[in-house]
Amino acid sequence: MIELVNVTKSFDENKVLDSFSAVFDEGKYLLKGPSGIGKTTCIRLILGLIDPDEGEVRVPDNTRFAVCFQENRLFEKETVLTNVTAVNENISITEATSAVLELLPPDSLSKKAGELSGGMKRRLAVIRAMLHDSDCVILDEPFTGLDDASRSKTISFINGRLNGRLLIVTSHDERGLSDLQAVNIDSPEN
Amino acid sequence: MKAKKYIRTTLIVLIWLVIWQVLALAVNNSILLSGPVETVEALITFGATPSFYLSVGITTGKILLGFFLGGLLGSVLALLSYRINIVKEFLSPFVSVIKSIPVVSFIIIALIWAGSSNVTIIVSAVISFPIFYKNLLEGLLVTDPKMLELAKVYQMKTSKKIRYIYLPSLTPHIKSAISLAIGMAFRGGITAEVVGQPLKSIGNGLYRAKINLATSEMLAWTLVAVLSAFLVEKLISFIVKKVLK
Repeated sequence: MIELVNVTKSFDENKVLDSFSAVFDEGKYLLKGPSGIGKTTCIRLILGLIDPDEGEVRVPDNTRFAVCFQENRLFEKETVLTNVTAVNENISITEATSAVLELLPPDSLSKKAGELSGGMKRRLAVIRAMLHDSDCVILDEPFTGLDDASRSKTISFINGRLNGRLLIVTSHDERGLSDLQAVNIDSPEN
Repeated sequence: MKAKKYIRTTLIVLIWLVIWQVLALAVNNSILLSGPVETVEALITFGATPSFYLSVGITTGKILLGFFLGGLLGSVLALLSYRINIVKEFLSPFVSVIKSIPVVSFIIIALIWAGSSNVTIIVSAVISFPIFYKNLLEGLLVTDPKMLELAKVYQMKTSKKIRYIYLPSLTPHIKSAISLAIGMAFRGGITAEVVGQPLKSIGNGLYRAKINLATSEMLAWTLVAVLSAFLVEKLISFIVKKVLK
């Protein structure tokens, strides 16, 4: 179980989170709110990439995360398959190939990540996260740049590869995510 | 396209050679200025003696050894400076001073400390060290912090972090360091030989040409130095390109 307890976080003079609390137990969660409300900050706090100014972030020891960041963060000069296997030590090429082909066309396998379109890069970032051996999967705006058909396929892929892990998704677009428990982030009073 | 470029480069070189020859004919004094024909003749004469090849080999070997030692030291200290800020702060004035000290000062110090036979190695190392240090540290410092976050979250192994995150960031800096350092190491190393005059060296050949007022020989040795630096740089760049592919 991951908990944020009365967390406050500011950047310079801008207060992004103000006494924000949330509990992420087993299941699937959707962090909701308009752009700039603090969804990504919330995720970075959970990942331990930043510390709260006040409050507490409780994450069980040795929790393994898989993340699709808001930016793709791919190894642009490496092939699609290498992008998947570079962060997934125990995965076989066959398994990686099969997962990639669920969301990307066959000719993408031999391409370098930098040669893919924006939407394909986004899907690759999701594939890489979903294949990672982890306890919690965090997807920050995973559907950015995807058309409706790709979005729908990506949602099916995520559900098919989740295997009971804790899932936290941020999105300002809730289409197809009705089975996720909503966690609202309210605008802080600066 | 490539063939066109080669033809154009060859033509430009030929035009410069013609200008050089015309100037030499106009001056009409081989001590003041020898032409390319005389220079090549001198080179052919050298080429007939085994000691010429020995001199070129020894000088090139010593410069390469100094280059590798300086490069290794610069790389290791750049890595330490990247990891430990106090090391970076501690080394910063030292590296700045080394970069601004005239090469000839190093040559004199190296001659006093280590004698003429080692001066080439020491000077080449001292010249290469700050170039590698600065370039590699810069490459490490500009490594994308977002990719390092990714590596942290995914608990990537150090070897994979180096392969997929650090090397892409470092490669242009490594190439630039090699290209700059090898040229400067040759210039500094041969200057050191001219001052220190170790036997069987390009610098010694240049010195002897100077005292004999043999300009064509001096230009021939210079040509050998330039070609050696060029070929060594191309060879190292080729190896680095293959390794960092």
